[in-house]
Amino acid sequence: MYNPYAVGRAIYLRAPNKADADGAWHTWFSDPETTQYLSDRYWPNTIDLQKDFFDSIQHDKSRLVLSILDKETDIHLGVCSLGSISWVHRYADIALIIGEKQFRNGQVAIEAISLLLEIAFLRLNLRNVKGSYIGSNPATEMLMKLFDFDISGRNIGLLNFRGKYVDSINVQLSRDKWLERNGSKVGVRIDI
Amino acid sequence: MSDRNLVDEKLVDIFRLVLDVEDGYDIKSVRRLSESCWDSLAHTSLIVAIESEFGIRLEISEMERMSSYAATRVLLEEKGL
Repeated sequence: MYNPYAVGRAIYLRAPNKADADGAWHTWFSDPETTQYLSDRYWPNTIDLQKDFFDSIQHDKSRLVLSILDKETDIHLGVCSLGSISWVHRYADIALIIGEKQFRNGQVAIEAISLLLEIAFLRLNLRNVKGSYIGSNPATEMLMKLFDFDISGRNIGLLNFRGKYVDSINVQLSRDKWLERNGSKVGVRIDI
Repeated sequence: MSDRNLVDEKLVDIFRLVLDVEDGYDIKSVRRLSESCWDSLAHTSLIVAIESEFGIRLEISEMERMSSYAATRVLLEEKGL
């Protein structure tokens, strides 16, 4: 592991570095299978654009972007983030991409979300985490259900999914609700 | 029917439904790594269904242990089911 920010059982999260930006990261956001459920990714990505993005997040405290690494191989397999952080209202938008397809086994996504929520609620002291997903994405729907996100709204027929209009589903998880299941983590020291 | 058999039956039903396998398929021998239909959606769906059906909450480490039907059954036994 290098420079871990949060450590799970099979993965760890850390700040992205130049090697990530020079690597496969940019390809994930061009890949048609990966981007089909992303409402705002419809233009091809390039390594230069990815490097620009990497530069833009260096000093941006409104967005926490983390690389996801496999502990065993140190492969950079995805990214996750808490974006649009409001330090006044104490909420953020959650996002996750497992870019390397061999790691799309469900468990990696579950562990990444779990770590990200712990960061949001215990480390950044946020009150709410929200997000949205395209209604044609059953994997994300199930993931949100697993982590007890509430559906806070639905934009009917808002998003184009390969020629068909589907709903955009808004979800939200409060710290209080997260604590119902994770209260035992409060005040507990971290031992890696 | 004993409680244990009832749990077995419910678990088999969950696996059959989520993995969408044909009748006659030996669901109790299914393993995550060797079953193409046990993808990320199936894995998450299994967890959600099991938590809901049995009224339990699984830790992340326990979800990771769900690598096969048999391993999942052992997990439930450890939880008193």
